[in-house]
Amino acid sequence: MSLWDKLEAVPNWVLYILVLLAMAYPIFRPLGLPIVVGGPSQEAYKAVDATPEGTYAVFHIAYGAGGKPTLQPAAVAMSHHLFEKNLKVIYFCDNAVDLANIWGIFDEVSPDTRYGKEYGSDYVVLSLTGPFLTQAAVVLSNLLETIPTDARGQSLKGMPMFQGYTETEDINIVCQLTTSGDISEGWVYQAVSRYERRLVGGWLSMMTSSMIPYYQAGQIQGFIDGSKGAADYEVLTNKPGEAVKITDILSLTQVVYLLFIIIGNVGYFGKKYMGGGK
Amino acid sequence: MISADPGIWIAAFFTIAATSYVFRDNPAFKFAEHTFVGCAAGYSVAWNLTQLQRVGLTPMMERGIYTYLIPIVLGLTVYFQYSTEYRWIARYGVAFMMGQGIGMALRAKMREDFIMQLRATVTPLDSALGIVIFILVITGALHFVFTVKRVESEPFRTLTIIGRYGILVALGASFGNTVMTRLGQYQGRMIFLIRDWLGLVA
Repeated sequence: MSLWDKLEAVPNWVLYILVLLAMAYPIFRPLGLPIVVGGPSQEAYKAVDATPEGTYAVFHIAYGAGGKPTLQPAAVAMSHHLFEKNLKVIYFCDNAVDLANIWGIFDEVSPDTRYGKEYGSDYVVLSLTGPFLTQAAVVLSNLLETIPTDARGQSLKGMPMFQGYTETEDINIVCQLTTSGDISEGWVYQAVSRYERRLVGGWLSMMTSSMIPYYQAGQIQGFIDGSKGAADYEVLTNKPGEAVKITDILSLTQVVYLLFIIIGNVGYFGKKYMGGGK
Repeated sequence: MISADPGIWIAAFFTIAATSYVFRDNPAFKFAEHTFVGCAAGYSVAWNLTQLQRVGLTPMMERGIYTYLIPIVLGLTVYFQYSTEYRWIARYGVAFMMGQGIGMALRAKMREDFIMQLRATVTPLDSALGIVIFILVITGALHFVFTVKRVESEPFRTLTIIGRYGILVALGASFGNTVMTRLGQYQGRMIFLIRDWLGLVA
């Protein structure tokens, strides 16, 4: 096997071990690399910031366990912002894992002690089921009639935050964090197209290339692009947390990947132009 | 200090077992995989039954909204899939769900995915990015025209090559984002193992 062949086919285990080391190193010794806030994150922040106090925000959590490391920091940072803006927040999810994620957000944000917010007066958690487009339509149009109780089984109509609630007129903004392309697009169909609400998204980086046309076309106000977007939002809200720490790990690991892409290409082109068989 | 919480140990075991697949398939990975699928299925059944009781049965019994019987019965018809003789009944439930989904999505899909995207592609031609997007949309679409003979001759051939490079750049960006996503998903587990399980950092 020639040198070019070896460069082209580095064993997987070498790559995996180097990636694991690159992931572990910044946990022990944070690099503190600067975070340059991206445009979409800034626009997402501005959209939430421009929401009038006292109006309602719908916050859909749909990333399960797989998306939690990436999107939970974004949910925490965004929740801080929503409570700071004194919005009435309707959290909702459609499975047990996301319900646990929502309670986890409250553990970190502490809306009651930090912002003086009260469950049922300033925020509520709903758990729904069924096809997503129907769920979105229910939340935006006919919530109190269709969903009698919150996730804890308390009556929604009896809650102070729903006294005088006029459904879609009061909901000013929809925020959604998800690992599902169908849900991200579904919100564009329902919140933007059908009910003409402002929409802020958040998803895994791998979904960005399919979702960015909606942002460029102005259908989505701004978005959080995976861990990097979450770190941006933490910087913007001035509450550095888990995502800022993660950014160091991401940066170093990407360097390892880039290095191996270069090595693989050197092997490929070396073999092609300089010869060297087996 | 290493964690004394059994829950953390179980989570650490499953994290390592699931990760072990990158080296080769093994019994620990299989065990983790089957446990995950079993738990997810069990959770899903319990969750949906609870929701049915909370959103469907309770309001029907307490508030007398008997129209809720219609979706419940339609949902139950899906179980006729398991009967060879009465399988046809399941089509009603499935047809209703599909019809409802299509009805809700069709109008919005046409507007948001087609008309709005088309408008966004052709209107902002006042920036370099807008022009690049416009050119690559046209040439990218041209690359997939196979029915007209003329696309094999110049200048169409050059245009389709430009389109092909545009598609390759998009795929490269998509691949880069996928790598970043996977790393982002795993780094949460790395932090868990090093901080929460082994207690090596605060």
